[in-house]
Amino acid sequence: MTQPQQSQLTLVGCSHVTANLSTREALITDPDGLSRCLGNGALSKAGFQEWLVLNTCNRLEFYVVSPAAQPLDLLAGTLSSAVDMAAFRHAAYTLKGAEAARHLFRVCAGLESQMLGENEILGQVKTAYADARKHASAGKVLNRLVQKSLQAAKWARTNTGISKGQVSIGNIAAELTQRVCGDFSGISILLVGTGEVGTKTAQALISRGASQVTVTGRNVEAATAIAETLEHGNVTAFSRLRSAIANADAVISCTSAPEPVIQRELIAPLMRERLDRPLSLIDLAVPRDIASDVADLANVYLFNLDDLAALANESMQARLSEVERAKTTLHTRADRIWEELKPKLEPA
Amino acid sequence: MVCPFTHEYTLFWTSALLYVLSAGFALPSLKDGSSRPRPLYLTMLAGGFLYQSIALYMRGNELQAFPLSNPFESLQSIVWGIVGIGLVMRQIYRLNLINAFSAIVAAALTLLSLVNPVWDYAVEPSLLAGSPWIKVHVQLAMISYALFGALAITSLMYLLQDRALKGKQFSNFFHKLPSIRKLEHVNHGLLMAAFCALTLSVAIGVLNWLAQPTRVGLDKLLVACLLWGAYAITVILRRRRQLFGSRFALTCSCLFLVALLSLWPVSRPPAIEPQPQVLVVSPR
Repeated sequence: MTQPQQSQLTLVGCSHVTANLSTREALITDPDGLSRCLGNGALSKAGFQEWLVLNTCNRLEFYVVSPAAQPLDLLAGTLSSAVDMAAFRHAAYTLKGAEAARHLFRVCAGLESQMLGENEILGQVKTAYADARKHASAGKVLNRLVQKSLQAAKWARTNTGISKGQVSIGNIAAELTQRVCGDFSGISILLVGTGEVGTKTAQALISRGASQVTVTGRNVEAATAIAETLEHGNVTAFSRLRSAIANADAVISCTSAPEPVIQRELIAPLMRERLDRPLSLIDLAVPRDIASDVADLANVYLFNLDDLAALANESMQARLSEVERAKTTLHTRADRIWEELKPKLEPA
Repeated sequence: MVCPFTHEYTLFWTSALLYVLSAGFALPSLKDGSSRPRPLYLTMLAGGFLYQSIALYMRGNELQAFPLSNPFESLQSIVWGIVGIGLVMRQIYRLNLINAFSAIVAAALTLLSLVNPVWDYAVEPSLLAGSPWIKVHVQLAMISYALFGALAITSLMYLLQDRALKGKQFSNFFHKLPSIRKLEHVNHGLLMAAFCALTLSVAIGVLNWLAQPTRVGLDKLLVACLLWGAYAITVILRRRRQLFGSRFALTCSCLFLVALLSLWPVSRPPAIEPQPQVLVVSPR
């Protein structure tokens, strides 16, 4: 008589660590088909007692409870119509038991993200968990594991520095502008130039509540096109730069001009007329768009790309220095939960 | 026998200790801008404020007047006003970290007043009695000093934020400080409110001096007028858009130090009026 096989928690997946962007982009060949497979219980019929699929731009991971010795083969057999299993196999890693639990804890805390400590992954795991509950595919093991990993992630973000500070240029520019101008809802932004970095930075400020965005540039068509993509965007002629700066609280400059387009002689008289309104200047151009002596003016705060990059590096270093401490605690918690869950793994 | 635990000095020391503890617990917030342990240091600060309120009330009862009769009482009252204003402003203006700064200032000034017992000289209660206008004058002066104290704190916060932004300092603490724009707005409001209170107080004081020139020393009047003049110049420059930003903040901070020093001449007790001599003539 064959012994019933013990179920095992297994993670099969690939991420930005094992697969580059073009590989990841092509992994899911039929997104609707994948949704259908997950929705119609194909994985359950294939022998998975529990399953959860975490599908983000940086990872495709299957957390399964199954007695199968090779869950990857089962997955391949079930999802081959929706996933490029050859590419997936090539990039896949397999973790079992406590290692799988630890990995999920680290993923939720953002320790496995491309941008260390990022918060978006928490929402993505919650979405994946919600889908698993909708499909009734999360059972005793995955329910407890996911809930505890989300709690542990919250602990890590609050009690360690893995999420502290900003590491993207747009968010850093937004924070600096907030330190100067305060609440975004009442501030007016001027975007000078049509560079991609400048546009993304303006979008970061809009996402924080900025409601007036004016775009100007020598290329009127490009400026107009950008203004149309931005919420609350409008365009003004480059010849009206002076009055546009006078009305702005924050100026983001990203042109391809070889010489500074904003000089001290332009800003100094404007500041005499707006003594109670400080001006934030974010210069994202190389070579610089804003003359460096503008920073000496009272009530004017100038930040260039070096400043933003230094801040991003500082934040990243601070996060990196917290990784080991966060990992140690997360692994301890994961191991504790795994010991609790092991007896619940049922024989097939 | 007076219970030692309810003796006013015990209450003053307790409030000072609570302010010190509050400042100690607030330091992590100032160091890294973390929002914990905000409930703890706020509780300590509120506790210190409560004890100080009771102590000042007891002192005021004893004097039958607002306790501003010597430098000790003046400092305690001003600190009490600064802490109270800070607690209110935090709610109204959402000024992060103002209570942390208030706690540090409160701890420093209350300890300073308590370790110098000679500052707490006794004044005859009868010397403080006077027309109700005197009481209004005293209370307005206290309010103005407290507002100037709060202004000095917000000005310090402005200077820190301005220096950090100019110097490209990006620690979490500076991110938690209020924005430059908000601090400029708050500073302007505090200056106007404080100056109005001081103007009314000095005006009443001048009228009182004109009515009873021997009762109030000329030096006290001059110091008060000079202080008023310094703030008046600040207000005028501000209205003429010649004083703003970090220069404005520095001016407000320095003027408060001057105001604190002016406490000694202005909080001296009024002079004792000479009693008329009675001549006894024996009948021949």
